[in-house]
Formats: sequence, structure tokens, C-alpha cells
Amino acid sequence: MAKLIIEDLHVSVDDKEILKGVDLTIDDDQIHALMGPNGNGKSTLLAAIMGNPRYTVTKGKITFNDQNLLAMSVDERSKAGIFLGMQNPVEIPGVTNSDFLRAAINARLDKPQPLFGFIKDMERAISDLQMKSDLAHRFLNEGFSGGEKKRNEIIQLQLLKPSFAMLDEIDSGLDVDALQIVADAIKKQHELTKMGLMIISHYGRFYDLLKPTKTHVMIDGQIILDGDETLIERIDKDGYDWISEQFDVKIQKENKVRMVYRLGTCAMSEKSKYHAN
Amino acid sequence: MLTNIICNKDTVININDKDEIELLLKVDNDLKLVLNVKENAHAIVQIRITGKDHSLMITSNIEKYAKLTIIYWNEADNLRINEEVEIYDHADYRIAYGELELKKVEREAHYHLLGYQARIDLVSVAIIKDHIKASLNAHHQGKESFSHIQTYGVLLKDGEYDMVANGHIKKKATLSKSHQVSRVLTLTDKQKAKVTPLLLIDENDVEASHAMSIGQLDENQLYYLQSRGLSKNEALGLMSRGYLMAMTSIIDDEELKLKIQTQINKKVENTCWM
Repeated sequence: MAKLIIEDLHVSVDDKEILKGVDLTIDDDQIHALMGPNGNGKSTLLAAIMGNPRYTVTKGKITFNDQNLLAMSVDERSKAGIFLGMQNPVEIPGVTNSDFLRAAINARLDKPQPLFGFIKDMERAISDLQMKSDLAHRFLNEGFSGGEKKRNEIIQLQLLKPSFAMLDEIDSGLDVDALQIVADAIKKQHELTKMGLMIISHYGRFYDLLKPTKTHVMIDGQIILDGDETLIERIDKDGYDWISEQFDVKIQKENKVRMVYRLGTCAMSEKSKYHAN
Repeated sequence: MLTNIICNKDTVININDKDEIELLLKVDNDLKLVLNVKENAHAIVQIRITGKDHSLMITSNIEKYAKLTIIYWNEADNLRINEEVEIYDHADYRIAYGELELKKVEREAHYHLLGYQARIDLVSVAIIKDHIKASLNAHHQGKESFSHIQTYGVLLKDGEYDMVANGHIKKKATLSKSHQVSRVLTLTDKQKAKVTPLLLIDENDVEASHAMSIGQLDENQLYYLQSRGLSKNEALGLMSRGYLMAMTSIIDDEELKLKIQTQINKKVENTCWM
């Protein structure tokens, strides 16, 4: 039985409190939908569970199968059975998908998986996700389209077989057909492993395909409302303003910081340096 | 036919036909090695270098239509290597330097592309914990000659890397091509990396390019790999492996490629990257 319990979780980023007391319990075999306007803490919750070093837990507890998750490093959490399908998977040039996945699989085994078995598993996952067969030899996420990156996250999910998976807007960047393929692969894996799932999405269509057992709405760093699939339908139709009004909470506006980068040049003259400054 | 040779003194090796040679160079005193690859000969030479505090002079002549692939595994410490290579018409010279033993090395190499369509494909990979200083120079004199110099370094704490890659297309070497790629990955804060790409062009109607990056470890990449169960050391090793595997890029022979991959994997697994 895999059980994730979050109690009174407070999380800050750069000294700004994002999560302001989150309580949540997810059992295995359950599918939880986590909804809410952008910039209100959904991704922060997932990143804090995974152990992203940018996020500081200032108060509260997370236990997974009675283990104190907060005392574990990121890789230990992964090996304990936690998986995060990321919103923006990074590109890692020079590292092939197959080398990466084989290393990740072997990291959680006492004895390395034989190569033949790994190749078979990978080919099956690539076929399920209907990706090109050269995926194994391509560098990790490098040059992938948005949709390919998301499908590659699900391939990893299939091969790493977590007991609890979090999917952060895994449906963004997917066309209608790809959405169905990804949902089918997630459902198949869920049926196979009975893993618990927490899914962030803005679209009812994705939830229709995955049939969540519970729905939560997060606003201003707290879970304000719990419900079932009818809550998803209502949000899909009416948005979040009614929740904000009913529960008297203020929706945080997404605060996107635009970084300004200065492009250097090989031959910058003293004069142009002066003007650039 | 595979030939094993152990050298601890000045040696001349003549390659007349199709040959595969494994050479152990014990540089326990200053050594000279001459490699003569005769016309139309095709050879693969693997050289393992051991020793300490000495110098090695390598002179190679690659005659017309010959093809020579050399793999160096340098395990010597505080070694000075000087190389002079002459490459003639249609000759194909491929060279891979593997320096994975964290030792001090100083190298100066001059590759003279003398003949029509003479070519060199060079790749140098290194794990640097001490000091590697190298100057690799491709001198184009033959028409339509080709050079591709790739250098990859992974710097550990206190490592110093000073690499000059020079492609010089001389007068009359029309339609020649000279390309360079240099990549350095720095894993901590206390290293020094200096890469100087040079392209000296004295002729019109040629192609030349260089690409260079000195990159610090990306925290997001590290987090991503760790989120899939890799420890920090395993994640760093995997990222470094990507740089080191470039060594196989010039090798056609699948068996040899696999052998080099195995050697690099073994090294990656047994190295502390932090």
C-alpha cells in the first residue's frame, strides 16, 4: 500500500511563501485532480514533494509509506517510488535517452537489468507512446517538440514503474490524438501498478479520459475545495471566480519574471561597450 | 592481424598492409616513435602510454591513399608529447586521444595536410583534475584538404585546461575545409579552463568554422536526473559520459567502438565527480 500524507505544508521560494498550509492524503490506486489558476501553488506542491532544491519547506510534514519524505534526497524519493512528470522537461545534450533510462532503472535495482530486457521494455514503451524508433539514440529531450517531451516523460513513467506519480500539465503541447495516446498509456500503467496519481491539468478533456477519483482546487497556496468529477465540469464551464467569491480567497496573479539577457559579441569595440552599458 | 608491441626505447614501425597493432609505450626515459604508413595501407593502432616525467616525440608519415586510425590511452603522468604528422594525397588520418587518468599532460601537435584531399579527423577527450595543456595545429597545404578537430574536457576540482586548436589554411590550399568544436564542462567552482580556437586563412574559396562552449553544470539538469533516481555522482557521471563518448565518433569499426565505450563506462563508474 503506497500512501502519501501531506500535513500543514508551508513552502517558500526565495523567501516568498507560496504554500500556506496544505493537507492532503492520497492512497494507491487513487487518481487526484489538482486544479487552480496559474501561479497559486500547484506546481510548487509537486516540486516540494519531489524535493526540488529551489523550494524550501518551512513547516509541515510529508510522509510516504510511513517514511519521512522531507528527510530524503531527490534521488532517494525517486527510488522510494515517487515520480514527477515535469511541465518543462530539460534538455540534456550528450546524454542519450537509452543511457539515461538504463542508468535510472539500474539505480533502483540491486543487479543491473540485462540489456536485452531493457531494449524490449523500451521498444514497447516507445510503441505505446507512438514515438519514433530512434528515440533511444537521441539526446535526452534535445530538439524534441513540446509534445515529444511530454510523451517522453510518460515513457519514463512506464519504465520506472513508480508507486506514486505526479503529472504537471503533461497534456499541454499535445494535440487531440496525442492526448488520447498519453492518457491511454497512463491508464494502462495505472491499471498495471495501481499507482496513486496526482494530475495537474487545466482541461476537462484530459480528466475525462483519466477519470479522477477526487478533485482539489488550490488557490493562494491552500486547497480551498475538494470534490468529485462534477467539480471539474463546473470549473470547465464557469472558471474559478465563483470559488474565490464563495470562499473569500484572493486568486494570486501569475508573476512571470522576465529575465533580460545581454548577448555578447566576439568583437565588441570600446565604443559599443560604452553604449551597451 | 593483431600485433602486440611493447616499446621502452626509440622505435620505428612500418605499416605496409592491413594491420591492427596494440602498442604499449613505456616512457620511462625520453622516447621517439616513428610510424610510417605506406601507400594504400590501412591500419588501426592502439597506443597505451605509461611513465612519468619524460617526453615523447611521435613522427608519422601517412602516404598516399593510406588510412590510419590511432587511439591513444594516455596513462602517463607529467608527460610532454610532441607530434609531427605528414599526410599525403587522399590519405585519411583519424586520431583519438583519451586522457581519463587525471594526470598532467603537455602536448604540441602539428598535422601537415600536404596532399590533395588529405584529411584528419581528430578528437580529444579528457577528465582533468591536474593540468592539461595542448596545442593542436592543422596546417592545410594540399588542395581540398580537410581537418576536423574536436576537443572535449570535463574539469574536476582544481583542474586546469588550456587548449589551443588551430586550423591554418595556407596559400594554394583552395577548397580546403577546416572545422573545430571545443566543449568544456566544469563541475565545481575551482577550475580554470581556457580554450583558444584559431582559424588562419590565407586562401580564398575555403570553408572554416569553430564552435566553442565552456559550460558550468546546470542545476536544472542535475535535478531532472536526480528526480529519476540517479545520485548526484551518477548524474554528473552520466553528463560527463556524454562528453567522453565523443571519442568514438571517428571510429568506423564497431568492435573497437564497443571496446572504447566499455573502457569509458568503466572509468565513469569509478570516478568521483564531486
